[in-house]
Amino acid sequence: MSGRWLFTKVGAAVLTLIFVLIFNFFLFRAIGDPTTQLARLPGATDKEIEQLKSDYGLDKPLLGQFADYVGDTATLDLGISQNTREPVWNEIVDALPWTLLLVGTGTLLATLIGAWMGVKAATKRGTKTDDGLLGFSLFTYAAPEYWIGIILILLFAVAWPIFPAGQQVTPGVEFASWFDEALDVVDHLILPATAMTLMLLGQYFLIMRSSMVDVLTEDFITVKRATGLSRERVINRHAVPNALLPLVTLSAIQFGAVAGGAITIETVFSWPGLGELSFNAINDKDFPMLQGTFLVFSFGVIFANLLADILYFYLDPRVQSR
Amino acid sequence: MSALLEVEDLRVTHDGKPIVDGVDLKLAPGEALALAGESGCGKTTTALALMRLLPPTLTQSGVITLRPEGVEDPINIGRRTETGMRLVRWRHISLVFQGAMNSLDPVQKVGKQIAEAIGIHERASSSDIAARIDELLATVGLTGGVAGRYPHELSGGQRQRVMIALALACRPSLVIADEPTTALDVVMQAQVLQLLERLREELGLALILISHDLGVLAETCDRIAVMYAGRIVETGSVDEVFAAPQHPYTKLLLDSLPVIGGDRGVGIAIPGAPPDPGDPPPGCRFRPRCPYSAERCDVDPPLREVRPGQLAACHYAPWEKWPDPVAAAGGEVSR
Amino acid sequence: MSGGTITVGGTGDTGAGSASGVKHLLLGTWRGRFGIGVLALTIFVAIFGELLAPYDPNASSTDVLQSPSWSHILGTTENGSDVFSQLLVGTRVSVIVGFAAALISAVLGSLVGLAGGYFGGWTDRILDATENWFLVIPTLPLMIVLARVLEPSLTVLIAVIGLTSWAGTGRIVRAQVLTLRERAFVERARALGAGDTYIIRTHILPNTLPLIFANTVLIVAVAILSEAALAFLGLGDPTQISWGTMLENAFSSGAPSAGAWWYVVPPGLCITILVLAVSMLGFLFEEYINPRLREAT
Repeated sequence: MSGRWLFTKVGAAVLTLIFVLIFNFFLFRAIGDPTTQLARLPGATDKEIEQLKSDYGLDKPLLGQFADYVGDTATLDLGISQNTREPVWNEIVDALPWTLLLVGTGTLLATLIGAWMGVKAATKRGTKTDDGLLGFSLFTYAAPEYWIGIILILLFAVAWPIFPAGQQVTPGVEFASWFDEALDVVDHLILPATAMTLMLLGQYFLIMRSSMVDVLTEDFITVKRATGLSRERVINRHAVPNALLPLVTLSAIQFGAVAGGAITIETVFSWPGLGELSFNAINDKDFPMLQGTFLVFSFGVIFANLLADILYFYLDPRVQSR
Repeated sequence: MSALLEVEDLRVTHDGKPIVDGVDLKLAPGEALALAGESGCGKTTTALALMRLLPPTLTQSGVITLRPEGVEDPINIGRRTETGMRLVRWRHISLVFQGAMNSLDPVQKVGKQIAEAIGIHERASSSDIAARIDELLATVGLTGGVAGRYPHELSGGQRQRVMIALALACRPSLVIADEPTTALDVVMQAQVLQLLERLREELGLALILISHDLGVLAETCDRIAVMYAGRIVETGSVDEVFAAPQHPYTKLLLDSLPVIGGDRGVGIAIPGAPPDPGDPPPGCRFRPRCPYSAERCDVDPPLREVRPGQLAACHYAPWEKWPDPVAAAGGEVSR
Repeated sequence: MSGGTITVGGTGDTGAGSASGVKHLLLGTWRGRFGIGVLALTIFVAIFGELLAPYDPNASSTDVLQSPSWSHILGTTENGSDVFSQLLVGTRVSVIVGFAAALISAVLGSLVGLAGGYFGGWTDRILDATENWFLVIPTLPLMIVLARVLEPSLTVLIAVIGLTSWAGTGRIVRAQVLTLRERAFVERARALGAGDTYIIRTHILPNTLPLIFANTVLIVAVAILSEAALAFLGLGDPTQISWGTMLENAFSSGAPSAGAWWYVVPPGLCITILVLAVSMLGFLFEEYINPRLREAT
């Protein structure tokens, strides 16, 4: 049974990815005519453009071009950046770890803090604590994350300069050990990761809170209290594990927002990840790079969704027997 | 012999409005008491109040005294602290809900949940606890393998048996069963009731059985208390009350039972809806729905002994003979 | 079975209650008053922004990055323009893009949801797969790609945001239509020979509209945030001032490191308060339609 379930989920993910490829291909080939981009090369003659066209396979029929595109993508050939003249894939490989570091830290902190806040609010429902947490999370939900990032810079890098305002390491410093370098990276990570955490916190909090409120009305909670368990233990051992299940599934809808946040927050903090690559590609009209980062972002979100499904599968015994 | 449980003037209020309005109960060791009434009359609230499990929005008052065998001083439940109550719960009083639905934690194995309950009240090695779980499951007619299952892997009947096994885990002297058969089919209902009866005899358990279904109560219980709008309106031995009800509400509830082999297969429902106990009508609370009401019913009737051992809250009790209800209700009875 | 009163099944009404109910909802709760108040003020400023502005928002001067003073109550920009005037004039783009994009999204989502839910079969499968795709794909990167390829302008922004944010509405409408389709009054109408258009217009749509409305209000908030994010990344309409382009200019001119909080704080705060107000209204409508939600919050 479980093999089949997994197969369906993986199949759906692959199908979504195929549609990303199709979309990506047609958007950049059909709407954004690549020859106009090639013609932007200064001093290009017609002959050179023809040469380039055949280099890029643009003289072939559309279906053939698509097959080439899929083949190239599968072999990680995402073209050459029009801006840096480097293979897009190489730049993405350099940037990816930084994005994963930022996004991973932010998601982890937001999940932990958001879930903890949700439990607090649900168990103190209707009190000032609950109102305060609700208000705070609504504010972080409504505030643009890049604006929060800029405010953090204003406060903690300019007005009270305790953290660096941008980049991932202090430039031009020879570090005595890898540990010193890691500490320097953490120092640079704190502000952007805080912005990322604040951006995601509200949603996690709201999901956890309503999930806890639901679980706390279930009969088994009363039964557990009737067996003589303390309120704290009923909450920690029984209510929270049950309330976490919706958090896992519903948090999947956040992954798209995470990708968006990576772009804006990395821009604000000059964090050298995929987001900054995208931002530079937007301003330089570097289409191969834009196409490449979009592909990687989409792939990442689809993959994260699949992971959330699998995690849910292992957490909820009710799914497994289906 | 002194009573196992004595409840005097139990009141539960929500924002100052009563939900349970002065309930007195008395239960001997090993006795089975039925608590009957339509939904919303305060049965479940009463049950939760006995274990001090009401949500914080509800306030309870009244004296609840428990005298379990082997315990020197009587336990004053109303006066206990929350920590003190935790020692009383399950050790002396346990609870069975309509467990076919969700009385067990869905993400924990059944055995672990029983072990947790035992572990709170006793120091026992894990092998002892495992043996106890096997024994408990056997008592309710299940195999030891069930301990390794999740609740959703069991049928409704199996889950209810697990719930009963859980209720017996700490050998309590009183089990409160709140609609224990409601979500089950007829065959399962009969099996669960037989199980409860058997356990009562074998283990000397006292039982409070809560149900809206008088048929279920009649088979299992010694005495019955009928609740209406937060109060007890009639109480007595099951045999007496069923043979000669002394409150019109009890009378109509009994009439609404289907009579097997009788001239009607379907009973007569009581027209109208029960009042909100927080905002009862003036005078007798049953007056608006009572086909026998008369002018004296403007005054709230007290619960008084109307026949030996039988109490009813009706001015006109004892009733020697009931007038024809259809005629009395002016023919306004739905089929 | 013991007789008793038989309640006649629901009329399929989803709670499109009385006008007084809506009035109480909007003016009787602090969330409603906050939402309506902020929205009314914003729309007023969006219409009359130029008339209210003390300066020409584009006029540059030598008073560069001045902190707030009596002549410039919110200080000046890197070009010496008046921040307060830009803030007033920039309101319009946020409001236009927010409402127009949400409208496109509502129409598209409703059509897809109605068609899929009502006709079922392959129509539904294809539309549902499309919905799923849009729900999974990261929205901002998708918007960025589309906006870049199409060259930014106000119309492109509206179209891009509208075309990428309808899937949630589609999903909700589809679920509602699926339950309505099985209801007795629809079956009865069909048995009496009513056509699809008639059933959709008289039975399905009226019972789905409140839901679409509440959802659209929430999409307005999303659209306002999307416009600001795209503008911040340099994909705003280059000929118009908006709160997003203000943040972009402030950021790229180094206002944060210059400590020019008066340039950075106001546009972000305006976005936040407007999004908060619109979301409050959306949540209120949702709760009004689905009273069960009231329990949870």
